[in-house]
Amino acid sequence: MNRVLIALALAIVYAVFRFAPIPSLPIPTPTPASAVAFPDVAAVAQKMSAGDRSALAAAYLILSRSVDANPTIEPVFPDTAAVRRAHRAALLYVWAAVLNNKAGEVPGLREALESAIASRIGTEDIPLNPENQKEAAKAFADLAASLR
Amino acid sequence: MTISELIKSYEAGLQGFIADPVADAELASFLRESGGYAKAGDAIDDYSLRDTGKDKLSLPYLAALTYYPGCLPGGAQGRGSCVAWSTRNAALVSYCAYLMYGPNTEKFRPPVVSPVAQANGVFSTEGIYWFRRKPTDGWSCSAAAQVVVKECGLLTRQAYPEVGLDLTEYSSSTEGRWGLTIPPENVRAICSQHLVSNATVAEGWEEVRDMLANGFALTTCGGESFSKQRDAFGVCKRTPEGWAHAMCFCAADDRPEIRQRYGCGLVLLANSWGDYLSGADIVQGTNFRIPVGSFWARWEDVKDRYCVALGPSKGWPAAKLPDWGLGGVI
Repeated sequence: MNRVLIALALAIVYAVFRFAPIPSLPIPTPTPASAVAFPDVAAVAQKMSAGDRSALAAAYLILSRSVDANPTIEPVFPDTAAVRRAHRAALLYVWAAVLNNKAGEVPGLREALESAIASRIGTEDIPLNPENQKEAAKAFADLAASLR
Repeated sequence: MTISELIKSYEAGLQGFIADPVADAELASFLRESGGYAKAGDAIDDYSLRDTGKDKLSLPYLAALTYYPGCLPGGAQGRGSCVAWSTRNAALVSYCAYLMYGPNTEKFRPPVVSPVAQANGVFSTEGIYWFRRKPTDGWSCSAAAQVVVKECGLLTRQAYPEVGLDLTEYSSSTEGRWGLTIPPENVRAICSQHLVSNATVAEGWEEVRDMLANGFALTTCGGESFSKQRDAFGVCKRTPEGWAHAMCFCAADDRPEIRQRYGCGLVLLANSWGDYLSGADIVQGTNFRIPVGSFWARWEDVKDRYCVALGPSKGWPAAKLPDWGLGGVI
């Protein structure tokens, strides 16, 4: 079931970013609490276009759902290194291939995102267990909300 | 020794397991004196684990197979060293289960090993067996449990050029390199780096089931023998021959429908004889396979075995991530 959810999420990533007009993404409205989870990210996001913010937020929501649906048995993300690889791949695709942006285009964005993730998930390659998996999924969801 | 020769040897009376009441008493005494739990029941009560495995299917071995596909049984024993194999397998499962399901507050990680090492069980059986303190084969589960807690825990299968040893691939002759005398100081220093944190003796179905439900695999010793053909549900029937043998308990099935069918719960025994069994290997009602060379047994058929549950070992520290991957991306 979890594998189906992940496959579905990845299919949605492809379908959404490949074919759908980005401003119409069905991103849920964040709660006020999660909107301030990463104030530095929210501040940098103000320098971005609405389309870029929406696309990045959608990517983070999908990452959040994928990590949350990670199966305990034969996990897609066995450790934080696997989450990092998925994170890099997803953002590379959205930022460069979909939005046609360049690295460093928004000053401070990379640093704010790196710092936000490190503050919640850490900077060590450790196995994912039910607790830190939940924390990672929540961190990505909060990032999505902060980007909005 | 081939697998069929090995099995014949056990059926002809080879004693891989030798009952040792003195070692059993020493283990209990050591556990009490070191602040641990001599009896699993006490640990279960203190940590409110009672009945945590009731009515459940618990498959802690899957954690080991997730990190190291194909790591069980890790080959086949080449001499009467089943106690070391059973102990290694239990320690391997307990460590991986702790990383995957436990709090892992120490942020341990599974060590990286070569594909050959993985196929040979990730960790060495040889190191454990070197501490049996006699020149002949055969040992007891309680003595081996003391060794993994005090002298030689998880010893990664790799080359150790600094002491002239290569443990990447299992070798029965290397397993017999020390016995009457224990290894020299420089080898002992390597052996003791990843000791098993704790052990406790489990008695009765409820204790065994609850330990497995919490990720503690058990090394077990006994005299029961089983058929070489699993039935349609992966269960092997007990046979009259008898094996003086050690095997690891690495899963428990206490689902009501299972108890109804077999009259009791089931335990999964990871044997150390390689791929010698035929028959069904799917866990009933799931898509999960049991390890090669393992089988389910009715608790009533194994209830007299001496069972030691092993805790997680001192692990390998987490590596640093370079960053979260956004350099040159965003």
